[in-house]
Amino acid sequence: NAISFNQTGELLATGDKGGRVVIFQREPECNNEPYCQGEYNVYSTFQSHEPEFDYLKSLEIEEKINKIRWLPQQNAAHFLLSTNDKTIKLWKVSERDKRPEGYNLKDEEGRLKDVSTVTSLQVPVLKPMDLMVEVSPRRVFANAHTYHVNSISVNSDCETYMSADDLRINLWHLAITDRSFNIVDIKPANMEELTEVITAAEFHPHHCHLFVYSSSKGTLRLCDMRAAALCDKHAKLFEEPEDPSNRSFFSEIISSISDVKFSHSGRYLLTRDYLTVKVWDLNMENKPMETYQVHDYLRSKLCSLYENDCIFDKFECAWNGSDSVIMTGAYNNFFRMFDRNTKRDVTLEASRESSKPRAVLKPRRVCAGGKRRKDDISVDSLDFTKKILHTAWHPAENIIAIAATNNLYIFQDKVNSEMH
Amino acid sequence: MYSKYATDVSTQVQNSQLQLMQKDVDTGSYWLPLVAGGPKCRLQVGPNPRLKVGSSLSLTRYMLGRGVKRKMSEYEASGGLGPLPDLPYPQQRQLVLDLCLNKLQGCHTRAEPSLHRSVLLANTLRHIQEELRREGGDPPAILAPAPPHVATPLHSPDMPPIPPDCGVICSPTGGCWPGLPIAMKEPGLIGGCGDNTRSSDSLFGSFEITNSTSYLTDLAFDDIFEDIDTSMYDSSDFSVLALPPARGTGTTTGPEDSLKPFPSCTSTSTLQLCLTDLNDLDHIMEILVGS
Repeated sequence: NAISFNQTGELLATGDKGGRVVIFQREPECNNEPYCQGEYNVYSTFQSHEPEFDYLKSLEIEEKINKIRWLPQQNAAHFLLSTNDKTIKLWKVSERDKRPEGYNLKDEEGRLKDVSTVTSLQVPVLKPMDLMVEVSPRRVFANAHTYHVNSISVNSDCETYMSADDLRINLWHLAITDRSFNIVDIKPANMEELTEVITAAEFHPHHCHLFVYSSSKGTLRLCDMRAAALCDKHAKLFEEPEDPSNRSFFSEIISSISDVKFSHSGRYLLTRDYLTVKVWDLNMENKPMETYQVHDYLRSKLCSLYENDCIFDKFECAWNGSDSVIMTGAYNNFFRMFDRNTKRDVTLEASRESSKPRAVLKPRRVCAGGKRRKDDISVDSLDFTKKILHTAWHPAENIIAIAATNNLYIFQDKVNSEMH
Repeated sequence: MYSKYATDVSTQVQNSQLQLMQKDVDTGSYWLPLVAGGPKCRLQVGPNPRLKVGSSLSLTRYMLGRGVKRKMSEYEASGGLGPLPDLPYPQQRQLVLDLCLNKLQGCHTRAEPSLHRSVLLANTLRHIQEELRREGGDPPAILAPAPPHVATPLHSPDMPPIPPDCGVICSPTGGCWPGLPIAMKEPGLIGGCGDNTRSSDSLFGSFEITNSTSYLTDLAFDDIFEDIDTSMYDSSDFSVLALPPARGTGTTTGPEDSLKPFPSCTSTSTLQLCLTDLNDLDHIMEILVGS
C-alpha cells in the first residue's frame, strides 16, 4: 500500500490495491497527559482509481495505487497526486465546517420560497456545522504512459511534477492535463534489445532542475533539465562496480534498485536494492558512501527466492527528518532502521501481537545458523508472504508508518532523543 | 520449398545437442527419454502444456503429480531453500535456466505482466546463454553426461526430424510473438544439455530469421499453420523481451543458413516465418508492445 506523509506530517495518505485512498489526520496534542502525542485518525476515504480495461491490448488495468504524493500546501485545501499503472489524478481535500443560513429566496430545506411571503430581507450568516471533508478530483492526467507508472514526484517549484514508467519519464504542469513533456526515454528502437528499465525517479528537494532516476541494473542517473529538453544524457551516473566475489546468477536481479530518495538536505541519495540500502553522496559517483545490509542471510537463499518470485519484490526506503536514520522493510513483517551516526541498526516487527497500544517494540533478531538465542527467528522460518514494502517517516518527528499486507501500523517514539 | 525446409530441419536435428521431444502423432502426447536408451516417460500434453524439460530436477517435480516414484533429490532434501551451491555448477546453471524459461512462459495474467520482471529474467537468461556459448566447444558430439548421480536427460541423435507443422505457434491476431523462448509444444528444444554453444546459438539465432525476407516470402502462411491451436496465446505476452539477437547484425545469409537454427528456435522462429516482411514485424511489434 502506498504511504505518504504530507509536508507537515499532519496528514498521512495510504492507497490500497482496491484503488482506495485513506487519509489520516493527526489529532492535535492534548495537554492533559504528558506523553499524549497526537494520534492519527481517519480523516477521509475515497475511491481514487477504478479498474479499467484496455480494449486494444485485451488487458486489465489494475486500480491498485502505486504511489501517492502530497503537494506543498498553498491554501486551506490539501492536494495530493495518486497514480495507478496508467493514470495520475490530482485530488483536492478540503474541509467544510460552516454553512450559510438565512437565505431570502430559499427555505431551510432549500426549497424556493413563495416570493409573496417574503416581507423582509436578511443577510445570510455562516453558522458552524459538523466538519465535512470533501475530496474531489481536480485533474486527471491520462494516456501518457504506455508502460507501468512506478513513480511520481512533485517538483520544488510546486507547478510541475514528473511521472515515470518503465521506459519513460514525463514532465507535467499541474494545471495542464492534455499535454506532458517527455524528458527521459530509454526505449530502444528495437524492443528486443531492451535490457534495462527505469525503476524509480524523484526530483531534487530544492533544485527544481535536477532529478534522479534509478534503473534495474543498479545505476542512478542525475539529470539536469537545463542541459537539454530530453534528458537522456545524464549529468552524473552513480554506479558501484560489482563485487566479483559475490557474483551469482542473480547478481543483476538483486542489484536492481527498487527505490531512490533524496535526503531532506538534498546532499545525499538513498537507494534500496534487494539486499542492501546505500547512501550516496551526490558528489561521489563511483561508489556509495555507506552500505547497510538489510538481510544478508538471504544471500544463500537467492535461488528459492527467485523461484517463488520474492526476488522481484520492490522495497521502499525512507529517511528520517534529520537524515540521520534510514529505514526500510523486509520479510516476516520486519523492518529495519539504521542510524548513520552511531552505526547501530535494529530490526523491528510490525504485527498485531507486538503492537498493543503504547507497547514498546522489541528488537528482533534473525539467526542464520550458528548460535541461536532465545526469541531469535531462524532464516528458514521467515514468512516471505509477509513483506513490508512500503514505509514512511514523518518529515519532522519520530513517527513512522508501516504498511504490512492489509494493515497499517503507525509507531511513535516516546522518547525523542533516541530511536526505539 | 517446403521439402527443402524439412530436410534442413532434420540436418539440424541430427547435429544439435538439444533435447528433443518425440511426438506421438496419434495421441498428441510426448515421450521424453530420461536417459539415452532408458525407460521412456509419458507426459500428458493438455491444452496448456507446461512441460519443463532440462534437468531431471524440474522434470521429476512435474512427474510427482503423476504418481511416479522418484528419489528425493539433494535440492528437495534440503527443504527447498538451497543450498544451491551443493549442486555442481552446470546443474545450478541448468536449474536457473529452467526457472527463467518457466517464468518467462508463465505470463498468462489478465493484467499486463511486469516489464521490469521480464527484462530481469531475460537478462539472466542471456547471461546464462552467453556462458554456455563461451564454454561450449564446436564439434557437435554427444554431450558428455552429467555426473552419474544426477540423471540429466541426454540427447539421442537418432530422433526423427520434427515435422514442421508441430509446435508452431501464432497469435490469434496473426501477429508474431518473436520472443517466446519455448514453444509450448516443444519445450525440449531448449538447453537440455548444459554446455553447448549450439543450443545457445539456436536460441538466439531465431532472430536471424526475421531478416531473411527472401525465404519468408515463399511460405504460404495458411497451409503450414492451419492445424495449430492458437487459443491460448494472446498478444499480451511479454516474452517478447526475452531474447535479443545474439549476433547483433542479423544480416541475412541466405535461406539455408537461416534455416539452421530453426528446430531449436521453436515458436520464435516459426512465428517469424509467419511474416512476409521484416517491416511487418516491426509494425506489429509496435502495436503489440503498445509503443
